[in-house]
Amino acid sequence: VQHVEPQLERTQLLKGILDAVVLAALAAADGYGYDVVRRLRAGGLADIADASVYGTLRRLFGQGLLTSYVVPSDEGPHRKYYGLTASGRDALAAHRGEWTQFADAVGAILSGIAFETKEVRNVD
Amino acid sequence: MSTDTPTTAGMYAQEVRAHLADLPAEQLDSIMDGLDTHFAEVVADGQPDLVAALGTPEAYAADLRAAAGISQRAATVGTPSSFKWSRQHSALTFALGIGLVGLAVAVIARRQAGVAEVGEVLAVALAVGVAWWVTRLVVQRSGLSGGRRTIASGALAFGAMCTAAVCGAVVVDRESGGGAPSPGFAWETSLPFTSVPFPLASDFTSTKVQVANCSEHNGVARMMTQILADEGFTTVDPTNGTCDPKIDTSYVIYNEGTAGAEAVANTVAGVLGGLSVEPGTLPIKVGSGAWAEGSGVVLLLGNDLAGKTLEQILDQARGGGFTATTAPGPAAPPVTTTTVSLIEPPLFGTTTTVGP
Repeated sequence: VQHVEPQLERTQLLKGILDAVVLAALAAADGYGYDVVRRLRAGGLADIADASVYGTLRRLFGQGLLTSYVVPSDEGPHRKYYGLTASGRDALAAHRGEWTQFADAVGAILSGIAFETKEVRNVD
Repeated sequence: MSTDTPTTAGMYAQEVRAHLADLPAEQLDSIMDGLDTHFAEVVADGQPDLVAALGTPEAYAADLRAAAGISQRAATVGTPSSFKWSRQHSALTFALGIGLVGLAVAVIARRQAGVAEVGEVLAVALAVGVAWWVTRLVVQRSGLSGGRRTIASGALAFGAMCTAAVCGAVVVDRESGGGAPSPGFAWETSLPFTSVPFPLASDFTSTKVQVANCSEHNGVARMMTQILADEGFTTVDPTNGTCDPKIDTSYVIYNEGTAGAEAVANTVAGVLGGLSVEPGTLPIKVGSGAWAEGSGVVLLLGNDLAGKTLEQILDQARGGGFTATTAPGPAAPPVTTTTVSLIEPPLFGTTTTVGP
């Protein structure tokens, strides 16, 4: 019996869509790092790595896709909130389009539908 | 990776930071900003074991890097105890370097009769500091990363410090030489670092030194014996000299048949601010006429050094009122006399031939 490690593959999959999901998690409302982690976990990505989210936030901010501002907290130190900039929204829209196309293709291939037609779509 | 489990959010944050310590300070601060708060929040959320909740600090740091688009650290995967090129390290090394150079300068200054001034020491320290930071800048701009950068930094910094230390030593040497050395000394004829050094005693306790009183004062040989003993020489009981007449200028004689005696004699002469040194012929001018047991060096103590402390002797030598190269005995043939500059440490003395 072959041993499979789904965790590893899933981690790889998550890496590819981190930018898209982090941007999406901030599309409806600004939030600080832990907010984003919680939103993604609540959305079904239970195993998303905390550090990956934080690192992604830093990088997207550096790329100008996010704004950030500090909000004093009642409980203690400040919290750094992030929100989408205009280019962040553009990037999110692009990610959505790309993902939909990718997911459709993979879905069709995995389900076998893709091979029922004579022409196989090139998913590159 | 540390085997200790970080028990608090603060400790966890510190360990994560330590695994990112190679990053430039601003980048490190920016990436760590708010994370300690976050870790505290995770704990407050009911996950007191942060390693279980978030993975090891090392893995967390690696994830942060990957997601933030910062290249992984080249040299330290699996070897977290290796050198980390952090600000703390460079500050520490910097302080250490300054301390060492300061110490070296202090030692040189002391060997040169305490002529170095605080300003000179500070100047040397400053030079070293500048060299260090220039080196750091060059290395940081060089585009090297990780282990290579560490090695390059180390090598360059070491070179810079050595250069600065040598320059400092030369400066101090020159500065102290500027204070009008008395004509009897060999400063003018000796080039620091390039002259042929006389064989410096590698172990100047190998041959015992005897002080023979050839001055017009009583009891002064014992005092001089103590001075030499304090300077690290092995001494034998002092004796009365048989100089007739008594001598004004002290000098040192050595037994050519005793290995290392000449070097010890030169060292004695150097320590006392520059005396002339010559081989002794039997009978030597001590009461017994012979070398004492285990001794191949005799200081014939004249009026110039009689009853003076080492400090007074060196002051006197620097003041120029002190001529050291008088060859005794009108009938003495030309002898090879080693003149030791008071300015230089004995290491840099030169051998010159003088007539009687």
